[in-house]
Amino acid sequence: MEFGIAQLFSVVWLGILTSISPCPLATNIAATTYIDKQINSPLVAVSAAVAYTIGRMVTYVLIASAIISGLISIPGMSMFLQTHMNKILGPVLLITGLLILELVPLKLPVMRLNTEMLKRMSDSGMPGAVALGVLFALGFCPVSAALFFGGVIPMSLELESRFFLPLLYGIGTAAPVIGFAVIVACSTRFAGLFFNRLAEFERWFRHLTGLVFVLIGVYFILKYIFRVINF
Amino acid sequence: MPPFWEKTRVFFSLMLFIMGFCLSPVIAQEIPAARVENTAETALQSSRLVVTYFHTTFRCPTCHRIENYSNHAIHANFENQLQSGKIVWQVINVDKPENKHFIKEYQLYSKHLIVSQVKDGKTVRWKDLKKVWMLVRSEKKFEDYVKTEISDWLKE
Repeated sequence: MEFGIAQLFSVVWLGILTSISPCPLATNIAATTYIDKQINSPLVAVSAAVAYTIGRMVTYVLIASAIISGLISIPGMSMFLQTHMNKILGPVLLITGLLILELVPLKLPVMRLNTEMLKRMSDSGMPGAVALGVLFALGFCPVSAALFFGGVIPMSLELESRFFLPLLYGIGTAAPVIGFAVIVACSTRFAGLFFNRLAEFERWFRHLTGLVFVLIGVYFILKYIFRVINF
Repeated sequence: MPPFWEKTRVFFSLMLFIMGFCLSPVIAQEIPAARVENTAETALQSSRLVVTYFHTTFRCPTCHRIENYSNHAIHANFENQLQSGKIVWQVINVDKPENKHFIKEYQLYSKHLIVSQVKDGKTVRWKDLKKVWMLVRSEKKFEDYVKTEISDWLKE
C-alpha cells in the first residue's frame, strides 16, 4: 500500500469540498459554535476541535472498513444513512440547543455519581465534541455521500487503505472547525488583556451556540422530516 | 410555579410538538417532480446511448444543479442525436417502486449521471460520470466533461 502526494492531497481536498457543501457546512457551523464557546480557554477550544475531528475520522474509518471488508454494500449503507440519519439529526440538534440554552432541565440519575474528573471532562466539552463528530459524520447528504462513497471509498479500495485515506478525509471534513478553533485560540490570547470581559463573552457565546443549534435543528427538521424547504 | 417545573413543562411541550409532527403522515407525502420524467422502459426499447440522471424524491440544490447542467450540456451539444434517437436523455426517480432495481444495477448511492449503451433492449456497458460532483461549481467545466464523455462513447 503506497500513496502518492497527489492521492493524499485529493482525499483531503474531497473532505474540504464536503465540509463546505451546504448540509455538512450547517453541521460544521453548529460544531464550531459548540467548540468555540470555550472562549476563555483557547487550549480547550483547540482540544475540542481535535476531539470533534477524531469523532469524524473514526466514523469514516469504520464505514470504510465495513465496506472494504464486504460487510455492507455501498448503496445500502449510503441510502440508509441519507434516509434516516438526517431525520434524527434535526431533533437531536434542537434538544442539544435547548439544553445549552438551559431551557430544559438535565438531571439524570447518573449525574449523582459524577466524579470530579467526569465533571471536568463534561465541562471541557470533549465527550460532546467526539459525539458531535460521530453524529455529524453519519449525517450523509447527497453531496457528502457522492464524495465519500464515490471518491474516497473507490480510492481506498484501489489502494487497499481502509484506515489512512478515510482518516485523512475525516480531517478534511473538519478543516473549517479546526481553523476557527485556532483563530479563536489566537484571538483569545490577544483578548486576554481584557480578561475581565471574557466571562461575559463566554456567556454570550454559550447563548449563541444554543441558538445556532436550535436554528440548525429546526432547519434539519423542516428539510428532512417535513420536506417543506429545499435549500 | 417553581422554575424547575416551568422548564420541565416547556421541555415536554416541545417534545410532544416534535413527536407529533415526526409521526404525522405529512412526511410520507412526496413533493411532485417539477417536470415529466421518462419511464425506465424508454431506455430499454432500442439500440442507443442512454444518458440518465438518477435522483431520489428528496432533492438538494446541488442535485438540481447537476440535472440542469446535464440537461443543458446534452441539449446544447447533441440536439441532432437526440432528435434522431441515437441519444436518449432521461431523468429517473429511484424512490419510485418500479425504479428501485436501478439502485442495485448501477450501484447508486447518491444522485448519479449514468451513460449506458443499450443494444437490443439490454445494457451492454455503462459508466457513472462521478466527476459531476467535483465539477458542479463550474458550469463550463461540467459541460465540457459531460460533452467529452458522451462524444467518446458515440465514437466507440
